[in-house]
Amino acid sequence: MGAEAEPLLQLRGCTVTFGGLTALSGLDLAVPHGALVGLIGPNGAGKSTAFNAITGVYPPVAGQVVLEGRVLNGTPPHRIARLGIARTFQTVRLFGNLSVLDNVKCGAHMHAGYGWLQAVVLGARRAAGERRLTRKAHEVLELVGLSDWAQAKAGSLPYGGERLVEIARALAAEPRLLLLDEPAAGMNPQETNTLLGFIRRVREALGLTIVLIEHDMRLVMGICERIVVLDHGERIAEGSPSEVRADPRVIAAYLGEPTGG
Amino acid sequence: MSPFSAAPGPGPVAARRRPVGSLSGSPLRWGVLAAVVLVALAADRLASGWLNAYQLHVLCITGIAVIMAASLNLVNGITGQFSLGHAGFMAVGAYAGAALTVKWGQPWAIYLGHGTPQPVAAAASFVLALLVAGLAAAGVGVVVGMPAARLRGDYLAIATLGFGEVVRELLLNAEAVGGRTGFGGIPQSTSLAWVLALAALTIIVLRNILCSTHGRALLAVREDESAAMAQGIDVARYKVGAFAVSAFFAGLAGCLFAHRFCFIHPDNFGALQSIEIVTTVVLGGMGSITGSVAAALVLGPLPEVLKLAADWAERASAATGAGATAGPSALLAAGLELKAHPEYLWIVYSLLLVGMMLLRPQGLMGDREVSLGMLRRLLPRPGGGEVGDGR
Amino acid sequence: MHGGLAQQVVEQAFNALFNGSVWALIAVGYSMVYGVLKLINFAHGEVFMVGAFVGYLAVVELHWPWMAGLGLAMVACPLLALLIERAAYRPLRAAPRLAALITAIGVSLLLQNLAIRIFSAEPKGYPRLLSDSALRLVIIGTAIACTVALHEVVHRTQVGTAIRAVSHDREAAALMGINVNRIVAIAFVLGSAAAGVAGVLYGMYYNVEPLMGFRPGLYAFVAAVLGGIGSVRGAAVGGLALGILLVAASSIAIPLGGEAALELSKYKTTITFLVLTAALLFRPAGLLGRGQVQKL
Repeated sequence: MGAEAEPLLQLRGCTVTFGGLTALSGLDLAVPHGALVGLIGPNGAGKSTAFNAITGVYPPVAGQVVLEGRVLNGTPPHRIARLGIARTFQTVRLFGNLSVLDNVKCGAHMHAGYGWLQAVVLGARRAAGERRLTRKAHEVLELVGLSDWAQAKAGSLPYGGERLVEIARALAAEPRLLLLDEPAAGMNPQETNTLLGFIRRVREALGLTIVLIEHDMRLVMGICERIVVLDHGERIAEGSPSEVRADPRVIAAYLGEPTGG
Repeated sequence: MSPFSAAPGPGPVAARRRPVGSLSGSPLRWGVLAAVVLVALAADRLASGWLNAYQLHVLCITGIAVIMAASLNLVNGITGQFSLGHAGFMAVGAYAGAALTVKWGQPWAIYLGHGTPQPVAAAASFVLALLVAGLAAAGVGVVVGMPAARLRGDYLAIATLGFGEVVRELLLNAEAVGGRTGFGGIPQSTSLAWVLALAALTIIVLRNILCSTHGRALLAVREDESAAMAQGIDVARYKVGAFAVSAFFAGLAGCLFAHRFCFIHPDNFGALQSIEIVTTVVLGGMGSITGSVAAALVLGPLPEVLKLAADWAERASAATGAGATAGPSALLAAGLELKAHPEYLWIVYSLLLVGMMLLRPQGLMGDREVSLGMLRRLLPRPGGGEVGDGR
Repeated sequence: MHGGLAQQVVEQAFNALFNGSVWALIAVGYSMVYGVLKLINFAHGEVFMVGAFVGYLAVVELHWPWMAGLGLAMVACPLLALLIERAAYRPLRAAPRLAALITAIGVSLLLQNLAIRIFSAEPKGYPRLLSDSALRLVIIGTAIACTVALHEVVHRTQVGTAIRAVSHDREAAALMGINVNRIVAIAFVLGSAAAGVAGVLYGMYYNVEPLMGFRPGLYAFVAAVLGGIGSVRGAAVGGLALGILLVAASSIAIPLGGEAALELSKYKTTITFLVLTAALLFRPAGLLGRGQVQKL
């Protein structure tokens, strides 16, 4: 393949340690443009750590995180967000005391286009910026189906709603790469189905590349084109859903048995 | 079409009635400031006719308290950084502004030409002193904000308390501005008009920041720093920014203070004063500028009110002589007690702090602001019912 | 002349040890409470002050011997601390930390001003019961004894193990059957007994007044952080280190040209807070602490 196959995101030999604990060990990962990749593995495999490494929260002690050819190592998280990577968190981290609308507007903050001085002095730039943010926020809320809840306090929503607000907030940033950390956690099968359809739609409509951490196998198998399996901080398998489902190493990792012959 | 199933609990309509984030409302236009300036000038004129000098003085003190409380709220309430050293920034502004006025006199009279009328030259000088005071304090705010951004909760509180004490110690040793003996001879440039105008300026600027994307960013920093970073918000820079802006206004207040009392001493800006401002912010509601203003209007004149009550009691008991009683004796006794023991003011503050935390930690206003929308909702509407009523 | 210099050095060393001991005794209280509650007990300096007043009242009003005054302070201060913990801190244990912090500030302010109301702000002195050098020896000895005793308690007894467990992870300790409320109370008792002792001895050396807890409290907190907050040994090391540092700095005068000189002895608070800031930024676990890495 030629240069056009260069992946959007690449992890090359990433190692992340906390004191004595190695959370990621030489992880290699490639996410092509427009792909929908699932990241699975037993608890403690290092999936969320991988997200944290990508978003700059835990800089790798070895290896590189590369976004379209640009090495992200050492870049602070807020800069990485501005490069087009948005994420949701394993435990929902909303701005609970703010309204849903304000939460989503925060997501679009980097596109506001005016500074502190303009904020104080008012004027055309600020007005245009605020209009842009408000329009974007309403658009995204419409997309996730939460328009009715725009003025509600974000912390007052039911759990499933909070997760959606988090996704909406991430989408408001107009990212190129969306990292979803267990978006279906705590959802019942019906909600999961709706989420599934939603992710598909959003991806097509916005041309997103998505990496998804999930424990819900139905969601992962149903929607992901490629799946990467982690265990003990390493990649142990990769492939299409059917390939991964049948891989003995994957089965062993989940069941905790040593790989047999 | 909501992707989550009908969960138990209130639906969206009822949820709308819950307290919303503090950003309902639009920024305040500069026309408001212009109007306030006119009102301030008029008020000053009228007030000097109706009120005596002491009452004017109390109004000025209250206005300064409003500026201090509102500016502290930007850091403590909105950005969630608990600073206990706000009086330190006030000190920087007070001394910087006073030093300029006293050491340099009124250079504007010369720069603007010899024909400049005195009031204009005086006003120009004062504007310069205010600017210098504010910018000096803001500079110190940046210096303090940078390490402060890396500290958390309790540690930040002690570190900022320490900052306030450091400023005090440095000023006590600064012979050039009086040191231990204090700094006097400051002209009384502060009038009610200036206080009103600058208080309005403070409120407008803070309000405009708060309901902009940068205000939302500060709130995001308060709510969850990691999530804020993930939205592209440079948390450290915003914290420093909050310190700088808040310090700027504290510096203005300090300059006003210096040019009102005409004599300043490092002990005017110590830990006690910082705690006084913190109490005001806590009472009003951390995160609500309206709350801080309201609380400052109540607590600002309180020391003077207590003093008045104590003096009244003293006079009343002296007039009637020992043993005889005039008016409710309990009240009289309370007043005399107050006269003998001014520390009761601080006992009140301390009980306020503890009481608020145990009973109503969100203060008066929580994190809500008064907005036109809210006022409209409170008024009875023809046809009855609020928007969103009826299921 | 030679003897003069040697005498000066000994004098300064004594001062360093003396101040360091006072701060160490107070710092132990900060450390223990911070360990179990993750709260800086702002009112701790006032417990120190109350100890001093209790000792003063025992000696001057009741005409007890000073050691009895000391013992009384060792009883009164824990009682006060328990009262504060029960009334002001425990109700807020589940509340955001900021609420507890603000309450602590309120309690500190309340105690200071109640003391002013009751005793007036004027400093009061003890009658001369011990010579200055004897007093200094007593304080240094007491600090050493207290630190050793507390260290033994924390590291060799079951209670101490429970305290360390709660400091490490309160929820896990509770799940293991530890009565967290009781352990918190014990931590308060131990810490404030030490502070009470420090108060009596400090009051005997200098004097007793309602605001006496503010400065030593602040310095002791810096000592606690410097040594490693949460650690008894750290409190002792931090106190000593800060004592030596300030005494050494006080003897430095930086010439500024002509007659003027920058006498660092006038800038003790500034130096202390520079030390605090440096410690918090560069070595937050303190001189003795081990860096703790936490997985988010």
